Amino acid sequence: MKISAYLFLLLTSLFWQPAFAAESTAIKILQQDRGRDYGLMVGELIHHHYIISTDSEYTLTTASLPIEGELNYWLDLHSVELKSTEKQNRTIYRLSLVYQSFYAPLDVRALTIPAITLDFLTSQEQRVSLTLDEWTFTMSPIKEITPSGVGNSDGVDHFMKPSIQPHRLKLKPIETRLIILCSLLLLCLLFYVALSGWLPRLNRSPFLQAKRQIKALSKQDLKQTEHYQACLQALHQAINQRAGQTIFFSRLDTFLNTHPAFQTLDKPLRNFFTQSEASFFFAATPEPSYIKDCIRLCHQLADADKVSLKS
Amino acid sequence: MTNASPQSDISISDWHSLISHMENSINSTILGQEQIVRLITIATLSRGHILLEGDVGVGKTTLLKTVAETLGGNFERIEGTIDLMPHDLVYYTYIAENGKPGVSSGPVLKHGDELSIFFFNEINRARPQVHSLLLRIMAERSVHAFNQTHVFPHLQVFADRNRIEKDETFELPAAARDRFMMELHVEQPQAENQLKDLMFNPRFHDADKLVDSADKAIVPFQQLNHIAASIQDTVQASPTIKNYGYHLCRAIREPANYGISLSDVDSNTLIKGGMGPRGMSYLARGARVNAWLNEREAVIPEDFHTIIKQIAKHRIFLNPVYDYDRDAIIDSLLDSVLNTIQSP
Repeated sequence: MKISAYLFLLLTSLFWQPAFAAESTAIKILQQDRGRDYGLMVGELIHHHYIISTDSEYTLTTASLPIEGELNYWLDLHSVELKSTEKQNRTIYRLSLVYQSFYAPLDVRALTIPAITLDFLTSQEQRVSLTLDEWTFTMSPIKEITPSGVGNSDGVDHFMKPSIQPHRLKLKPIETRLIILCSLLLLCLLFYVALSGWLPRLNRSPFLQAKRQIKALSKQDLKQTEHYQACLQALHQAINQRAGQTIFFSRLDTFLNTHPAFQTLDKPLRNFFTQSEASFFFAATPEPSYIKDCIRLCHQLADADKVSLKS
Repeated sequence: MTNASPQSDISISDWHSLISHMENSINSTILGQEQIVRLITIATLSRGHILLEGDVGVGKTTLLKTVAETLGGNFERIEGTIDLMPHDLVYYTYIAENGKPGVSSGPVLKHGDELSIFFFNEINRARPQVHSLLLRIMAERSVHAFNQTHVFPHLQVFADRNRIEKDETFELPAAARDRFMMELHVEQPQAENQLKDLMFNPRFHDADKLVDSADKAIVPFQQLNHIAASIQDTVQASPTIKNYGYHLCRAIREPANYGISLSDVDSNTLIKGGMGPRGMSYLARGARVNAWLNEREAVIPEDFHTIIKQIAKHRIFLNPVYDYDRDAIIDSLLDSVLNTIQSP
């Protein structure tokens, strides 16, 4: 009787499979990395990585994941990160847990991070659990219990240590990129400025140069004939430069016909040539007030010049 | 020159209307030559001699006769031929009615100091000896003959040269060409109605009658020297315009120094000579007269532009290698000079 009872037990134990054992192939930990389990210091981050494979019918219940925050008085769960991918009818979960231990042991002390139970649900609401085992590690003190020198009357606190020099980030690649980008930006700006006619030497319109010249000259005493005439001459030179030949009063019509953009300025241009002739050839008294008109004419000609260059 | 001229009793404004009347009269007689008439007026008031050039039958002689009629004074004309000798201008010999040989004054001396216009037709057919005499008449307005010097204070020489025919011709020497203030190229009128008028209007068929129909002696030729001097005194030239005129003349002589380049021409070796002080002086005088004719008190660049081609073209001497295309090169040079030199 006793023997038959033992045989029955043996057979039943062979054919009976518990629920967990039945699910172990459907849900399994493919890989786990929990790092070094010794010599950890106070404040150190502990990284646990798990790769869990399940049949695609199982879905991890995110509510079963541990909640970030203080787990106990010395252990914080810093972060929980879960990523999942589907692969050949299986779901791969990548779980990363980051703990931080604030335990400050005076000697080497073994501590345990508690086990975690993850729940998986099937489409038929069948619940299956997977336990991530607890993890025991040893923490080490960061200082001696009694450093040498303690108790001396030299006034030095031997528990204090100098701060660690901050780690210097390598800035060289960033600096190089910054220099290249700044140079490109500068080049673009220069190109834009040149196109806009703001560079004195690369001016597209000679009238802008004439305007600057006249403005500079107009600071002198314009009642003096030579200063007054220098202003007029600057505009004459700009007109000649734009025309590619000397433009006299009698050729103004030809100039306006070949440069139609300036035709709207016919009247002020005629006035300018009249003033210029009066000053240069008829010894007329300078009219300093006209120089303002002259500057305005330069501005209008430069504006019209842009139009003519674009067209 | 001016000491032989009586003081003018005509006011400046009256002179303007007289000159305007003269030009209108010539233009109504000679069709389509308004620009030539204006240039002749400028030369007359600058007391410069004129070399005419042009196709045959375009009215050069009629034009000159008309100018002579309107100016008043005496007009003489001589035809240039290969056997013409200098003495033919001064005297001629003949057998008188009494059978004795006689000597009379030639065309130059016939009118004494009343000679106003002397027209030398086809000057390049005459020999260099004749050119030589003409040089003196033009430059000094005098000639020595019959043991005395004859002075022609009001004389203006017009010459015509035919550049189509080259046989039996003598090219005018450089010195003779330089003594002409202007060389005018007379072309036939371009306007259709004017040509039709010349073709069908009987008024233009008889040249002598036509010249006779022009108003005569509009301008007192004896006072031309005085008004010419007066114009030069009254019309102002500012330092800027003097500078411009000077650089125009320099650029014609030294185009390379002014950055003037012509296609297929080496500007450094292009010019051999010409446009010397006499030419520069004529340019300034002509510019002042043009300013005066346009009732301006001072010279402006356009006054130079009006006359520079007629004054400069015949007195520029090119390197012989460029003579084959002389007219085109000089036209191009003068255009470049006018486009390059700035004023102010």
